[in-house]
Amino acid sequence: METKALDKYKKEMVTCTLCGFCKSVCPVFEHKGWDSSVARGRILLAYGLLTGEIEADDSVVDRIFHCPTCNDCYRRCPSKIKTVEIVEAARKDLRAAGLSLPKHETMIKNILEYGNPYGETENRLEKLDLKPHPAKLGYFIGCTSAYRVETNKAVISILEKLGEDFTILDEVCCGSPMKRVGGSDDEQLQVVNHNLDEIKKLGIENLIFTCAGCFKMFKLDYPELIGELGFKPMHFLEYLAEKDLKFKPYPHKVTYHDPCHLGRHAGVYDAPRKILEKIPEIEFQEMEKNREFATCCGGGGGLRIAFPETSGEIAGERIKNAEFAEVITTPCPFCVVNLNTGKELVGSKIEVKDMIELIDELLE
Amino acid sequence: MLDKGFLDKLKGIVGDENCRTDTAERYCYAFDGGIHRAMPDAVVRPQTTQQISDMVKLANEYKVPIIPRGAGTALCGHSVAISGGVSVDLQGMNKIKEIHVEDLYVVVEPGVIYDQLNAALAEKKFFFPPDPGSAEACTIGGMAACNASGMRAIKYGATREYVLGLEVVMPTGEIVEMGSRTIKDSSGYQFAKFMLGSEGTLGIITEITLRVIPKPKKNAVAVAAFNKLEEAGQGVSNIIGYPVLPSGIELMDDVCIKAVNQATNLGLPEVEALLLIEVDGHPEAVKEDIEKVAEICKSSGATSVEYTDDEKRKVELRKGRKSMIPALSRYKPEWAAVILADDMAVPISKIPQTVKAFHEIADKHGIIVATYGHAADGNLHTKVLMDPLDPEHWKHGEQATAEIFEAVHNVGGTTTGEHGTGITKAPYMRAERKSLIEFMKKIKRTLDPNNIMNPNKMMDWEEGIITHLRYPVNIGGGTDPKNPEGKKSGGSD
Ligand SMILES: Cc1cc2nc3c(=O)[nH]c(=O)nc-3n(C[C@H](O)[C@H](O)[C@H](O)COP(=O)(O)OP(=O)(O)OC[C@H]3O[C@@H](n4cnc5c(N)ncnc54)[C@H](O)[C@@H]3O)c2cc1C
Ligand code: SF4
Ligand code: SF4
Repeated sequence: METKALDKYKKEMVTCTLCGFCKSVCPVFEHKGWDSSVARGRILLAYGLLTGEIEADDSVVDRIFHCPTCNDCYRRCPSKIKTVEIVEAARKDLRAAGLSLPKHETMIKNILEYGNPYGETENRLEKLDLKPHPAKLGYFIGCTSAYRVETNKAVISILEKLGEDFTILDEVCCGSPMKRVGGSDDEQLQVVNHNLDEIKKLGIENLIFTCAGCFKMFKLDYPELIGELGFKPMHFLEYLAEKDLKFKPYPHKVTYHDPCHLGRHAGVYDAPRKILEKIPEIEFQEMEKNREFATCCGGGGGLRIAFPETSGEIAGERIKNAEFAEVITTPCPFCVVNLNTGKELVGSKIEVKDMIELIDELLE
Repeated sequence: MLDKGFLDKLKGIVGDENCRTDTAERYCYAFDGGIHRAMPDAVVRPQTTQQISDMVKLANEYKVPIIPRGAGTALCGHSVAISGGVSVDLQGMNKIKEIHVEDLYVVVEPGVIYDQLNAALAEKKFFFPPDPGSAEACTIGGMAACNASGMRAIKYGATREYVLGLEVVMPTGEIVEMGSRTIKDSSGYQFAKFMLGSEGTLGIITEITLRVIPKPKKNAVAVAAFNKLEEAGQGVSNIIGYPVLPSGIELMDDVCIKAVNQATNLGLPEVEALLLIEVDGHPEAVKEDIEKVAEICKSSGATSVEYTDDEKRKVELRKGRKSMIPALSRYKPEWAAVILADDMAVPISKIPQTVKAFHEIADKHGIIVATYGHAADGNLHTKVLMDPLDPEHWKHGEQATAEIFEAVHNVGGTTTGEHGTGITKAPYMRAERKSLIEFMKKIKRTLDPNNIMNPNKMMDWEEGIITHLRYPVNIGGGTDPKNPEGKKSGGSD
């Protein structure tokens, strides 16, 4: 098997001291228990592929893809090993060798053919009845918000309440789902270039997101692929945190879930808390594991689609951690969907609330 | 390859879902935290003592090696399946079965993680003190099998001070209870203690009864910088001789300091040695002790001393030590921190001359040896910084390791203070304990007539150490990409 992507990480892999500290945080390891299901194991398998010591059989492919790329291992790792990058490189090489998972393959095909991973054939702007116009502020809807949940309505309503001149764009999938599961640079560039062209056309200077995956992709992965962006990607909460917002009271016990791709990957922790603080009568309480220590909802990295059982169990664990509250809120639509799956699995009464919708409901 | 009949029966014992022969598991369980690797033929995750007993009996029948394994954090190839066989992952047996702080003991399964046990004990204001550096990952079974300890050993001792009783599946499959649940016990051979440090060669520990003690109410930290290693060494001796009994004294040499300064903006003083000293106990005693420690450091030649009991400041002062390992692992772009030499203990007063000797040896071989450790009990650790992909570096690394242990033995030191022997320390343990080796072999042959329990380790490892390497570097007889199994022949003798 060719290992073009992994070649770059040879030194990184031998720098891993195999200390096993990642076991104390890896949500998949907690669920599976085998040493092959933790960052250390994934690094070893990737390394075995690189040296040609092992064949990429089903077991190897399964373990490499069985990771939501939550980055908690990196946070904990004493040697700061970039496991997620290694995992993504291994997936890229496996896929180039024709060894990806059928569900991921369909997802990538859908993105390239229909512009979204779900295979929805209707153009999202037509579906939502929206039209782009030149503006400095852009809103990137994202596929989950366009086709699976209604966050887009809340974003638009908030921006209208604030009297902002903003535009949506004739976007396609940001490319994050395929980047996570081994999409090639060429495949990624197809969607990246489309989106960049649209952004340029409209003269957008600040582009806002609600989906943590889209945001991370634009903020960290686009520059890797194409260099300087020429506009500023911002999470919607970062944008709102700077505004003078007036809220109606919300007398409920609320906790906040940090999406991995927003928190650990992109470093946004303060903005959501700053906003929640402004809500009168809210009783806000952090979960035991919060900010950079937050555990994953299990939804990312292609896990939900390929391994719904593992993904659901991880979401269930996160929900159990939040059960002291009436409401768990988070701004990422993908986390909202997965946390709801977890809620059903563990039979919890907690309400999982999209933070953008919460803001819209309470904003005066 | 395992006999099909064996494998079927094995699955019958532990259940299909707990037995894997997939590439992914065989490869991942080929490694531990050290430099060696060799693939087992199967990995099992038993759930009960009875399953383990049945499995061990079966392994005797078929003469298949059995390698007990906890979290796989040991650093010397301890759980590497050097003769193939079945890797027995005990992490799934992780129940804290009983907590009786009023009787000063707990009963746990072997897969309980050290930190998790202490989290449960903290609710009752008690703790199990040994505190190895791997506390968040390593299992109590692994700690017992290695007699693990940590920076608090000077005051609180090693795992052996806390093991009251064990349940063990012996190499021939019998389930034997050793020791008791009482603080005192003098009936017969102290077999529970004897198992500590057996590194999986004399049986599988399936239950551990541990003594626990009340948590100290308070602690305080001091950091002292010394221009000369000798002065730091003298400082340690003066503290202990005063007497102040610290709960730990960590030493960092100049290589460690430089690495931290290179990787962080902590700006540690660029001196020959830093000491991080901790005291704990009753608040008034802590105050008195930490002030005394600071005074002694100054009078021993420290150029700067800071001490505190403030929670936030303590975290700051510990930061240098905490960031040391990652800093060392990225000391030079092409280099890595390699587990060679790694752990040794010398009489406390010999620390300065030993560290100096290590530096001279490193210079001679064109590698870097960073030395740190638990200075209060003479336990030193080294990280060899070298290019793990360069065969020349391995040759020098091997020679340097031999010279390091010679220097340690010359000052009356011992080959391993806490990490154990496995493969990587075996030649040096044999050199040090000449009169004991044959006796150890006799015990092993008696208890394990088919030599199936973690065979060819410690006294039975007769090759060198630069072999079966985890790194993709070909040094005659080392890693052979065509033999990823990396197996040594045999398993029974
Ligand atoms: C970063 C780091 C820091 C460390 N710091 C320290 C330290 O400060 N002090 C210290 O003492 N050690 C330290 N170690 C070494 C190691 O963590 C300890 O020896 C630990 O006790 C090993 O536990 P484990 O569960 O990982 O055992 P493993 O590595 O899985 O096994 C170790 C040995 O014990 C045997 N074994 C495991 N479980 C059982 C069982 N139930 N029955 C019989 N045999 C068994 C295995 O066969 C093997 O030979 C460190 C390691 C790392 C990676
Ligand atoms: S990834 Fe980091 S935490 Fe995990 S084994 Fe490697 S060095 Fe240790
Ligand atoms: S990214 Fe998350 S799930 Fe993947 S190995 Fe790291 S901790 Fe485990």
